[in-house]
Amino acid sequence: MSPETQTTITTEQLRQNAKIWYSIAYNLKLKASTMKPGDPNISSLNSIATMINTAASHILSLAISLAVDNVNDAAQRLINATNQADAVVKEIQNIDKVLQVSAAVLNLVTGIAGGLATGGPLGGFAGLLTGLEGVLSSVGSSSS
Amino acid sequence: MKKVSLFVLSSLVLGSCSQVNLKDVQELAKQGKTTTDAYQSIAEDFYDTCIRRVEYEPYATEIPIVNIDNSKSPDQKTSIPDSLRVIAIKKALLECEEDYKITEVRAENAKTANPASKAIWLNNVLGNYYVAIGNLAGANFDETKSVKTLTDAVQPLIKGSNSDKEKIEITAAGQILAFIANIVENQIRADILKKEITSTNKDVKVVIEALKDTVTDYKVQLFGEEQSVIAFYGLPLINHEQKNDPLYDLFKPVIVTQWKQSRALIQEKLNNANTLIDSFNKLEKDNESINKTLTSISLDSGLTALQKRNLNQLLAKQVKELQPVISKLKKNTELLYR
Repeated sequence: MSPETQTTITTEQLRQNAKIWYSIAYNLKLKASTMKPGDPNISSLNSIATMINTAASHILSLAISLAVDNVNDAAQRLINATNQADAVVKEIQNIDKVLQVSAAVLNLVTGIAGGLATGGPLGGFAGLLTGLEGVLSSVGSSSS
Repeated sequence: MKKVSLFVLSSLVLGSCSQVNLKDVQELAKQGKTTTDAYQSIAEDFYDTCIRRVEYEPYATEIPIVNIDNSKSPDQKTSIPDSLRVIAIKKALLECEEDYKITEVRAENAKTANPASKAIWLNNVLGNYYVAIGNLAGANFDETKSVKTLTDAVQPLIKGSNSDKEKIEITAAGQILAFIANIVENQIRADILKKEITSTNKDVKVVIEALKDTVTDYKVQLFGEEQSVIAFYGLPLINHEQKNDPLYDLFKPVIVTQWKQSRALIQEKLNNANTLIDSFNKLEKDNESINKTLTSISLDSGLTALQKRNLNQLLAKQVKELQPVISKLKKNTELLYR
């Protein structure tokens, strides 16, 4: 088929085609059922109906394939995101990491406690703890 | 061991109470997993509905499904009426096998796997994504265990802590650390979740749409099965009725009952497919909603008044009393991490 005559078929069109083929198969069976017993065409019509049903089923499998294959890139990005999330969860769960964080947290807590104990400014922590100023002043007033 | 920058840490703590609602994300993840689990059984029925449809073909049940490629099958005897019919049915069974029989998709067969297997693979990609997102949001995370681990970890840092008072203080210090570590961890979770969900929202939508498409294909498969059921039970009934067959009255109740059962089964499967499409629609909507929330919020929004008050109360209650033991902890921690 030349590029000029090439058309894009959608999954919806494939589905509609399959549905039509299923209906045609049923109508052939209906036709066969109205024939006189022993008519050699009965068997042929039923066999053709079976083949048409098979074709319809195969068309549907093409529709599934089209739907799934078209989203491979998106699926790959989801796989990457999943791997990244899994890695972060492992990292969070890693006790070493928790301890590492807690060691730094210790510094922070000690800094707060030190500041409270002396009642004075927080020294080197002050710049970093601007957002906690309100909290600390409240702690200071409630503990004084 | 590398020390975490205090600046980074304090930034994390300051931004720790961002508006990323981890519970909402956990709920979304749960919904995603439930939906993808439901898809599994429908995708597996692609093959079953194909086989059922073929079995409603006249004489189909006399042809063995096994050995369908073997023309010298011992089961092929005179009971089979004609060769064209046999070929048609064998071909139909073979197509069911090739198009819909599920096999595990791996890298080596990714391109050659049949459509139904690929659909299940795609569904698994989505399911795994939601499990990972759920875990990242803290699902399956035992906070109690985390507190104990941290309390235990703090214990050896104190040397010569024999008195009961000191032991209580150590436990309390561990709990404070766990509390703050939890804030920090939640911030890491929130930060990564924002990145993950906002960057993949479009991909989630695309994959859900594709899976919904395949469910619609499944509904057409069921339509095909229903047509075969009508032909199998309905046409003989019409014929016998028209011909005033004396056996008609005898067989009619049995045939009608079986027909009803078959139709009920198909209807149930259609209902399941419709429910699944609704679930996918809801999932898509909720994912979009969480994405919108995450896109609009700033993770550096700082502590809210209520969060400041809560933190204040906790610190006010415990920090001052614990100052000596925390100093000791700090000293020993510095030695440990030097």
